[in-house]
Amino acid sequence: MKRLVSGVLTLGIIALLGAFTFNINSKELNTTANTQDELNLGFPDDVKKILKTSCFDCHSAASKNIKAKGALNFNKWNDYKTTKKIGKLNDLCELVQDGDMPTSKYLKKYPDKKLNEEQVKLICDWTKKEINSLME
Amino acid sequence: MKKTIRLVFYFLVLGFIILQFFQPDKNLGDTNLHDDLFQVATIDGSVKTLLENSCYDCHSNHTKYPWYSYISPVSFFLNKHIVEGKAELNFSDWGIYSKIDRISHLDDICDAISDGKMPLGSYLILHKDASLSEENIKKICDWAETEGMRLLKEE
Repeated sequence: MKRLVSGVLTLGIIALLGAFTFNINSKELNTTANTQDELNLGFPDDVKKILKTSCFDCHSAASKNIKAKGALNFNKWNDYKTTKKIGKLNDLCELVQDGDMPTSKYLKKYPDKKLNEEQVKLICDWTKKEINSLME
Repeated sequence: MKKTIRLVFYFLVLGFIILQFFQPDKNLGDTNLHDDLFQVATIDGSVKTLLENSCYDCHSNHTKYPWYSYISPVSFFLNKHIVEGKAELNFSDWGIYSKIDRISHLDDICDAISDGKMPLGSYLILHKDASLSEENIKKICDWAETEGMRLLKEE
């Protein structure tokens, strides 16, 4: 009898842990899926991949970080005026180049989202090209 | 015991007096030289006044220093803000900025004042008249947008 009880208890704990893990996973999957579906930005794939990994968590509609979302929300990108787009692109390169973005607080939690030099260069080459085409 | 307290007090006073001999360099360059925003940009008098009152103390080469800014360590605290402010955006260098940087700054100016990030809270405590009303924020934002568009279309 005692063995049965402890067996049930163990099973219960495993089930609970499983549900919890699954819940977390499905939440993350959901946000990613949403941003991916909604965003039709016309950015090159390699740029979009970097932004999706290291920026969209805070800078898209699904984000709960109001401050970050207010400063830049990629879901609203297509509504931004040309001057705003130029401004944001200019800031984007500067912030990743200086290592101010992603924030150190965020990187502490997700160290693998840190941008390497190659990725920073790719972003900045693209923002400069994009700005020049917007200036025309 | 009483003697120790008195001694400590004397030391503190002496330290404070000695500290007054150390002052950071003052930000007192010429105003309105040829690279200043007011010379380079298309801007009307009312927006000029707003920027001068609320931004120019930390974002130009000329600060209007209040009397307490001559007291250490307040002077160092103030100087830090001025140095940081000018590094981020210096209206006295507007003419040196590239067109892209100008457009970018104009957009950031509107964002910063709309979010209440600027003017800094610590600045507003003693500069109540520098606080920007909703109406004045709109005025600056409208100007920033018009100026940005003008720059964009300019050949």
